[in-house]
Amino acid sequence: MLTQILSANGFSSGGMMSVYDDGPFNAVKNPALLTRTHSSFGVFLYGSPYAKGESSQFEINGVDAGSNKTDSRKTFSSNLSFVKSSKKISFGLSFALQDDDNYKSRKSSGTYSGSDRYSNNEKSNAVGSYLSAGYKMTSDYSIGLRMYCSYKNEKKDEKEFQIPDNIRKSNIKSLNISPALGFHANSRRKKI
Amino acid sequence: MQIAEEKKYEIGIILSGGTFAKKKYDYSYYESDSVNGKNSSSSGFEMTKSPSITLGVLKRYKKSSLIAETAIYIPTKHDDKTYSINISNGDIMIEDIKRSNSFRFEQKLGYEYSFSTSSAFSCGLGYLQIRQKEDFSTLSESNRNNIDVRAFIFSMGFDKKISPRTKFIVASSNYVIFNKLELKSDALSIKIKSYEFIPNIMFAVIQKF
Repeated sequence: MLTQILSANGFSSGGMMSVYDDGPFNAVKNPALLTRTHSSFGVFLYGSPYAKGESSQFEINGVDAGSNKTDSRKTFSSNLSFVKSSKKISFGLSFALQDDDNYKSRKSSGTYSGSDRYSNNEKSNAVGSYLSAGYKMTSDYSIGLRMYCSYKNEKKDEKEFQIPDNIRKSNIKSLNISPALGFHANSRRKKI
Repeated sequence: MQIAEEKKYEIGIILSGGTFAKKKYDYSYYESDSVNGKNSSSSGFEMTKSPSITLGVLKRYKKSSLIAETAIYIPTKHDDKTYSINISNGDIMIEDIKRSNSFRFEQKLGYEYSFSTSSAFSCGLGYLQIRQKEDFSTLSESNRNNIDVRAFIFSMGFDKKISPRTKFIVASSNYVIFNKLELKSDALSIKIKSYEFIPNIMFAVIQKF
């Protein structure tokens, strides 16, 4: 859940979305930035093959009751973006995800009440695309529209080692859409 | 005397209408002594991420740029589903949850320094906080979850133009996440605290037409 809600795009200056020219990757950012972009394409791949270090402490009615640790975690994501610019209007198309990864897997394990053990195995696959357009009103002001659409398949297996052992499986498929409107302005001063 | 116009700063605004999701849920339960069950459900389009306003300001200096960005999310409520299992016969009950995104705030700071016309270094710091409430309204007893997530993001990257039309970027974006979850019902109170460190590495190529 946690990485889904973070801005996962790996833009190096902190994941800025409203300003800062990222070339063709502006197709997933503020759509008004498209008017500042040359016709171009870009591809980026990013991922994390390792993310151990989680630790959780359960407390039931104020008493310590268990722990949890991440045994392995892998994420992989990609972005393929195109921008076509003319004098006033620019279009962007990007195959990328908003706040998510194309592939994600996480294995964790722990104990309840110091005795019952459990293990979780989570996996998700997702694909998404952005379609955006920007319009240059003047040399300093531009506006834009962006539409995002994605499909995600999440699977989770929870196994409890009790007597008898049991496995709970959940599979959630979701279709997501998100519209956005953008504005960009330059402020200038005259210098003699 | 010559008059030239110099860029003072740039302003960017994004108004997001939120994220709407349509979901299909499949649940199953298996026990080693052969008790098992299955159940499915689906939902219409529900708002799962709140509408937001993102405001960014960029100030350019001779060789460097400084950027600040703030995102504020409007609190919203939406319906979701969860499940519970009757372990005596394996029956799965799908239950409605009301989730409310009570607070979400993001603050980012970025800096870029150009060594030359063909190479630059950039780095960023980010802070994110989310509070969410879950209300299991269909259950007979009062049952609520409170989720509080705080994340710190540190990123850095290096850009290199390998020709006038081609640029190569290597970057790393790392998260430290602190998560606090409180589940409260009439008889039980469960608290979970966790932290997680997630490193990411990115390779990018940009080609102008």
